[in-house]
Amino acid sequence: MLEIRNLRAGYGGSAVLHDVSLRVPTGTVAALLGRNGMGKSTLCKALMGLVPAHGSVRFNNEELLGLSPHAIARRGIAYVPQGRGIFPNFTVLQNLQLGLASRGGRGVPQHVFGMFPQLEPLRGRAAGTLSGGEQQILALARAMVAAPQLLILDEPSEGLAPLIVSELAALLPRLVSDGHMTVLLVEQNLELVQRAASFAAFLEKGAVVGAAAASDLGPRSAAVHRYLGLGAG
Amino acid sequence: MEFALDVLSYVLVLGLVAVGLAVIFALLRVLNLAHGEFLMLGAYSVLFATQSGIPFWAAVVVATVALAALGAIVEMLLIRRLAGRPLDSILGTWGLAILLRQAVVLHFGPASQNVDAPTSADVVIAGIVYPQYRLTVMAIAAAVLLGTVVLFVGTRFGLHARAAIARPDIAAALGVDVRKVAARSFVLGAALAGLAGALISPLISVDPNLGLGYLVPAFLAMLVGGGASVFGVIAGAGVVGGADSVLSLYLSSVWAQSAVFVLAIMLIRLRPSGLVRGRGERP
Amino acid sequence: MNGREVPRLLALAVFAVLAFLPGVAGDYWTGQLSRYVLYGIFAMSLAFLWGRAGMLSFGHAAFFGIGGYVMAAVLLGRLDVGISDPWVALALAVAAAAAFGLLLGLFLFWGGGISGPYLALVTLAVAVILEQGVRGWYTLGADNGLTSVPPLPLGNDPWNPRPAFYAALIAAAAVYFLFDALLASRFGAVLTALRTNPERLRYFGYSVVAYRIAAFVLGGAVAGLAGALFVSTDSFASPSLIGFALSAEVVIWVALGGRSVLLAAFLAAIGVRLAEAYLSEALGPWWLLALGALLMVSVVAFPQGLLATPLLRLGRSLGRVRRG
Repeated sequence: MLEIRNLRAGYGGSAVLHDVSLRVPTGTVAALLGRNGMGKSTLCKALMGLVPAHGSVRFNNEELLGLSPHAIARRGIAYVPQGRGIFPNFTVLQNLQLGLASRGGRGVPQHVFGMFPQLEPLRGRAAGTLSGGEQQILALARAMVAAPQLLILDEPSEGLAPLIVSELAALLPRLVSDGHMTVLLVEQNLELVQRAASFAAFLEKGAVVGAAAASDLGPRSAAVHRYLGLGAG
Repeated sequence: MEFALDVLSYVLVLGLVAVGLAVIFALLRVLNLAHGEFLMLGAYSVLFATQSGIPFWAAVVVATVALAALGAIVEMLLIRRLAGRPLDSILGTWGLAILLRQAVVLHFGPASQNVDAPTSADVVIAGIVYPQYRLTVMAIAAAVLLGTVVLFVGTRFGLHARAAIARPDIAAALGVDVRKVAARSFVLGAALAGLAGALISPLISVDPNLGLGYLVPAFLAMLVGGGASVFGVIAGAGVVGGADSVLSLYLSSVWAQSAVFVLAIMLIRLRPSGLVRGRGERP
Repeated sequence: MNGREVPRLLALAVFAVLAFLPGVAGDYWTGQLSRYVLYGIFAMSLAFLWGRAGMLSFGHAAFFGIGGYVMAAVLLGRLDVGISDPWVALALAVAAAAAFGLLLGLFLFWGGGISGPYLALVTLAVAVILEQGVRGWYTLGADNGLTSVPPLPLGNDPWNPRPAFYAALIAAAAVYFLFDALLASRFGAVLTALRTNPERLRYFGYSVVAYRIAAFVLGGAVAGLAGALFVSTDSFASPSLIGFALSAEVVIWVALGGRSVLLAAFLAAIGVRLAEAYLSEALGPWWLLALGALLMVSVVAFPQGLLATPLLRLGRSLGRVRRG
């Protein structure tokens, strides 16, 4: 269970997040929807300890706020940042090995290649030479190397072809299917959220302003129209 | 040939000094102006240890270990408090440099002293006669530099360090303890500088200001090489050290050094990112 | 009463107190104090450049030394420019330091260029180059420097140190109020933006390079003035005025005093020099050790400097008294 309460965060005195509260039950894919500039990336960084924040973030009844980023990572929380954050000059294998930093161990577990078979033949390639879709898969695989309990994805669909987005949409529910892992998907791609998440909260101007079940996220739904200003036309 | 060996030995020693300087700047944005004093203290450690009856090679090991220990203390008390404040780090470490120099003056006196080389034998190599000790120094320096490269390219620690240099935020979010990596790198850099000072102690006159002579060339080597990769720093040491030695053939050593500084400033100005590009991910 | 008046009054008070010192200090200390005041001017020029414009010149003695050497070489006829009037030589020395600032600034800053810690290292290397150049240049006396530099024509008694002291003090006050007026003007506002947010400055159409160079020229010219006055007071230009050692010293004064407050830098230069004069006899080599330790502690615990914070606080409480 991830429990965010009254989270405030910002840069150099100006607050980007005013009041974010959210509960994500274990074993689900939860989405946070919001347009650009609503504080989505800041929220992810605040959860990872990368920006100073106030309030409370509890994961499995342990307070995360105030911990340094590596300590948060070592508590089983993995993060795929916006723009993927892969190391372009490292090989695919080296990028995956970095995923082991949070839990130790020497070799990249074989099940990761089982989960993402397209990476196996690319092991020795420099990650920067991969296509955007392959890089996103790599970033996801690097997060999964640590066998996390919570996976935070910041706009994974950004810059991906529709076909790859639908692969991603099919993949995310599979990750949580055994009931141990939780995914927080921070997105503005409505289609991905609708297909992958079980429910979505709406982030507007730094605060959570509402929530809806995934089944209520059709393009003509009231919630989408109200919070994202799309649909209808 | 003899000249080439001289150049190589200066470049290797400069490389040992510059690597530690560059890694800690890349990781923490800390410019350590006391790094030359680590070299100086390495030389004095050998002086002190040999005077206490410890054999030379054991004294070199003692010096390296002592400087690693000093590096750990300095990292804890000073360096980590200066992380991310490059200009303040210049001042704080300059204070440390003054303190270390004066401590040596107080204990050993300001006059220069000599350390005896473990051997004064010469060897004949490719038709020329060359001091055996110098060759040994070069072999050790080359091996240690190679070991440092392997450490940064081939190990888990190196992978984490290079990731932390390239994207500290991402590395931390993946679970890399950037501060611990930086602390270990600083200890390593101090030990390498101490080793360099220990090795060259029989070749120079050991005085409290000897670190200053290496500080500016080491910084220029770091800047010329780009500073973010071990290869780059060694290349920078090659350019700065090589140019210094070549110019010394034609000019007095003082003018040669000035010319090298001018050359280095030109290079830094024309290629601010250094001769070898890349932020850390490259070895 | 606005926010700038109190610091100005405080500065006036400091200069007034200094003006009374020769009456109690005696000739030897008056002579020493005039040197310390000139170091104070030097420190202000660095505080202006570093604390206000955000450019740490770690080779600032380059400008001080150029001013000093030009003064000495011109008056001794080593550089044959046909000038024997000390005031003209002084002007020439300041102009030379400014010109060096212009050339170096153009080279370093043109088209983006070098900033931050890189600037500190490169300027340090420049000072080392100049020191080595002077040491190897026989026209400038090489390692021995230039001796018997004629003093400025101030009064008839060459053994009376007071005229030189008051000249130094007047120069210090002039420099302080010049910098103060500049910083209060639009130029000062641009310099602050240069330090804190050069990108935004560029966005609003200011030439960051031009302002960087202007600040460099001004800081260099004032350092050159201090150096020229120093050499004519000391009647001796030595290589130690131009290189690494003095560069590092002035950075220590400014850091200990507080780089963002000109008066703090000025007082710190005088204070450290005075302390050194008194304590280096009592403490011997321990004095430098203590200075190094003090610098370390001050950077870690008081990054704003040791004098700046109390000075600002004093200024604020005086302001409150006046208002209340």
